[in-house]
Amino acid sequence: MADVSIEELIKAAEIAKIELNEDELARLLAQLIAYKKWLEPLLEVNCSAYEPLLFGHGALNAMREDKAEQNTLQGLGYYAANYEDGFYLVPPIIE
Amino acid sequence: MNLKTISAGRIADKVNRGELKARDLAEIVLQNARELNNKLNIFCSIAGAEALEQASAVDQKIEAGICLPLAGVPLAVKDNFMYKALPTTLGSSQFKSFYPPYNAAAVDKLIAAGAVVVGKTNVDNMGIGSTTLDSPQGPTLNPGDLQKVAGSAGAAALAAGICSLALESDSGGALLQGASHCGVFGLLPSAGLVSRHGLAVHSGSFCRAGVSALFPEDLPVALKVISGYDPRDAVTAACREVNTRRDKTDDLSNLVVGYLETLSGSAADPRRNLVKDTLNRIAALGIRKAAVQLKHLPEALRAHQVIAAAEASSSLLRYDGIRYGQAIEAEDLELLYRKTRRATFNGEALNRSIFGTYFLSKDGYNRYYRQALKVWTLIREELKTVFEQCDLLLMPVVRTGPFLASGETAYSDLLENDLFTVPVSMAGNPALCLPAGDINGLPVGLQLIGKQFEDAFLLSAALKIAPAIISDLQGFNGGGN
Amino acid sequence: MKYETVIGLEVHVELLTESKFFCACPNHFAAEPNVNTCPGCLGFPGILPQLNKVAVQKALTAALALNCEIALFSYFDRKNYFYPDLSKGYQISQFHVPIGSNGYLDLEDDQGLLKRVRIGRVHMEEDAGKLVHSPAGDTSLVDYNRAGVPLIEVVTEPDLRSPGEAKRYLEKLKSILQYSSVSDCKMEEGSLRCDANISLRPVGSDTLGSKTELKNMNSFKAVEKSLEHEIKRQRAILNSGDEVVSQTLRWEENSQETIVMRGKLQAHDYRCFVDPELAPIQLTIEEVEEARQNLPEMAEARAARFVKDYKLPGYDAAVLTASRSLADYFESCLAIYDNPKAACNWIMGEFTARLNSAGIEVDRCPFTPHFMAELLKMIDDGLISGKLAKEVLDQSIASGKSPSQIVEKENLTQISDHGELEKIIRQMIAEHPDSVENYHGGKTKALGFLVGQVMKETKGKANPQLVNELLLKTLEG
Repeated sequence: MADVSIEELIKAAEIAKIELNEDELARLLAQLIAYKKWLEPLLEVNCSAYEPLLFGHGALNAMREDKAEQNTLQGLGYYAANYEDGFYLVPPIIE
Repeated sequence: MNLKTISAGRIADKVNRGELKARDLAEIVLQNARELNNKLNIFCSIAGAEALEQASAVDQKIEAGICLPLAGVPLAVKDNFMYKALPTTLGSSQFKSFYPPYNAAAVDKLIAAGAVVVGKTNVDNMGIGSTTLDSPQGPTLNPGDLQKVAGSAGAAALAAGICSLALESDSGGALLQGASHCGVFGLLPSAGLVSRHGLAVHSGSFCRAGVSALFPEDLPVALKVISGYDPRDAVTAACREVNTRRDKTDDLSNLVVGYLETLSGSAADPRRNLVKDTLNRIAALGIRKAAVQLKHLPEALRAHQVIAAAEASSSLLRYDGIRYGQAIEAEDLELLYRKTRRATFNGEALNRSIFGTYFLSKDGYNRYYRQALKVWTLIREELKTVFEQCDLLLMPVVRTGPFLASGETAYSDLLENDLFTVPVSMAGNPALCLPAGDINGLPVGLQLIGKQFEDAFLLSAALKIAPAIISDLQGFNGGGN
Repeated sequence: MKYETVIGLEVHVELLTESKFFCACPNHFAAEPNVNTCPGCLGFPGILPQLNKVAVQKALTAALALNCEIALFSYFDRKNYFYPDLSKGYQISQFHVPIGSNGYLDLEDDQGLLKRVRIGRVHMEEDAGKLVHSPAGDTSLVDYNRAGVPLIEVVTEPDLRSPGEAKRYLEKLKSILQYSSVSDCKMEEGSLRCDANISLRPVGSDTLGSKTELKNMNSFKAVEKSLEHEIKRQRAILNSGDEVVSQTLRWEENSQETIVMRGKLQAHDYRCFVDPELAPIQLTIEEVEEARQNLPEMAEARAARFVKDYKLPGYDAAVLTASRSLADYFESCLAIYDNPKAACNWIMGEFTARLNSAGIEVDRCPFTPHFMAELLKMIDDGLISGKLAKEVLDQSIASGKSPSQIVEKENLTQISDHGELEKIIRQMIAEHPDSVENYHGGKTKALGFLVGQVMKETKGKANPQLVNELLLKTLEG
């Protein structure tokens, strides 16, 4: 399955919601082909003795007390391109 | 004042004693930064009034009898750390005027310790990369060779004598590689030792905050300032119970330094000789050597790539242009997302967004991601075995010299670049890059790796070893003022 | 052909905490949009999640109360998808290892027999924000107040066989989660939300038919109605020889029908993986056992206790304990008033009727258990009549004033003065000689009429029992 299809790439770009033009797709496809080839040694390691690692860090039960604090940073809406009457605005969505 | 000849500790001493005004130093430093930046492209933004205010505040505290460990020390901050006073661009043109509403934990701590933020240093798009070639303003040039990249703009700021300390981030080798290319000391602290609150984390597993300096003795001071448990970064909970770890080395003859018996045949010869020479020099100090093995370096490099891409593809989803950033106007939501996100990302961040999405899809997960997680376990086991045979591990940092600032770099070369730095990324150990020699007229560093949370021990040993390694390094005035 | 209905429910319940799941923003309803938000729940760069301890404890309590096996080691994953109400582009959720699994709830099936509904999983996750659509339809508005509110999702196996069973399951689930203080489960406020999976299969078949998912039911009634509607729709499709299309449908309350949803949640690849920014949760057996011991008395046990300790009829006990707040109200009242049956009658009857018609929750009603006790004492002491008491109850609920304040202010105290009442009685006898004659002629109904006249004259303030007594005495005397 080392061969790569353009459909696979297009699908990933669609899920990632990144617009790519023909040139970019072509460049990425070439890269993905090289990339998958480069990754082959990874697949060849015999890992039958190893479990997938879930966490790289050793932290456990890091929790905070349930205390509410009203955020004191005012005007976070200022950071949005489209913000009106306390709402973030987006193009219309049909449910 | 030449910052290359005075350590941060000495600057703080002078300021604390009232011999030097932080404000006067800041004015000189800012001037210097502006001038050299034209040549080297180090900064995304250089501070002005806010740095002078910080410096004045330091002077006032000193006058009030308060002593600060980093009083007046000029600090470079990588532009993926949030800092209210200057834009945090994240290496994206979409964030060129993003003034975050909060400071990163490490920035706050360094400022509270008396450091003065000189500017925000150039960064690859979304903080992903170790070349700055993926920055919208182009790469930072190496002060030692303007045809080459610096790797890390913070390290360049040090090497150019603009700053004394640089706050850095690392997820696969940027910090250490940059230090190597610029001939400075880079400390990647243990995972979980330094809070990442306010660092734009693209890989929760691998992103860390660290610090680089012109003088090795400044690293323990800086680390003390920025390290410690922070409830805002869950991973730092791991460092709460580590007081029992070794923190210093008294007798070098008890120390065993491991080295890789075979270098996977991939390090160019001069680098291999560098390790050999260095080992001989430190052996002269009475330190014992032990040959050790990391059999799966190339596979670890690939596993790291897969996991980092997967995590980035998820962590970067938040950049949708709705709550912050600059949404590209579009009639429908789908287009808004697609156009905004295309404009936000480039280079490796774009690659990882797409390839990482594939690695987490059903197909990619079963084929690549799960295997990468297993190899992650494997490489950690290997490192654990290594540290049963030695106290510290001495290894190359870089495979090759810094990339050309102008030319295209082959994708495979970029991918291979992190070969020697991923083991530490994956295992959470602390690592220190120290300048060990020159190759083709550019400095090259080696890394000393310690056991996780034995950062103080690593630094203590490194400070004892450093003079033997760096004594004949060109252009380096170790320890003097 | 005869079909069997197969229903599974996915219920999202907001946890009762002070703050959100991963940031300190308040977890309470806010009328203004985006006031309960911070850089964390807005997904700003550089902010890492900070896990709320109480949310985890409540999820554990819920899993135990639902008879689940507890995962001592569990953690959070990221469920990745784009939607404007999802600020980080992923939802933090327990995908791989839910805190609770293999639980169950027992309830009565349609034949009145006990049946066990299996609960596949109970897992923790964060809520998303809310979307509002502008009337003109040219824009959608996002409010992130709800983003990051802690939830548990309770998922049944496809064990329910009728809309009625589904409704009873929800009632029981709600009662258990309310009793254990996990959630207030107010469906109309969205703190309990239910999605249903439903399919039909020929009776006797043991393979599942293709199912549809129903969303947007805002009450238990709506769940029942939408399932009934969907059964009819699917049966018609199957009878005509077609196949049911597996899709997500939205219940329209106004038209009482289901429509196909577009947009969100169509065949997603969520690409779930461990969230590396959070620490995993490791519970000890001792912690789990302690939480199990601390589970509160649930509705059934409490009802049994009411029957035993307060000598209430079983039906009354069941009604009172159906919601924890009503049962709490009853017992708070009994702390200062010692006639359980009278309290029960008033709470189940007059009080509940008024709450329902006003649409007020028990725990938000200004008529406190203390007021109820006061009112009942006044009736017992003959200070007010039962009829007057109802009026006082109305006024107290409306004004928040105590019954004694109202009675005093409105001069509503019952007339129990013999002299005064006898005077009025004599006056009424004089005014209605016909009735007196009727009474003496053996028509006892006339007595009632005369009592009524006295009550009318005193504007209802006369003690009716005393009027009866005195009137008899006067007529016979």
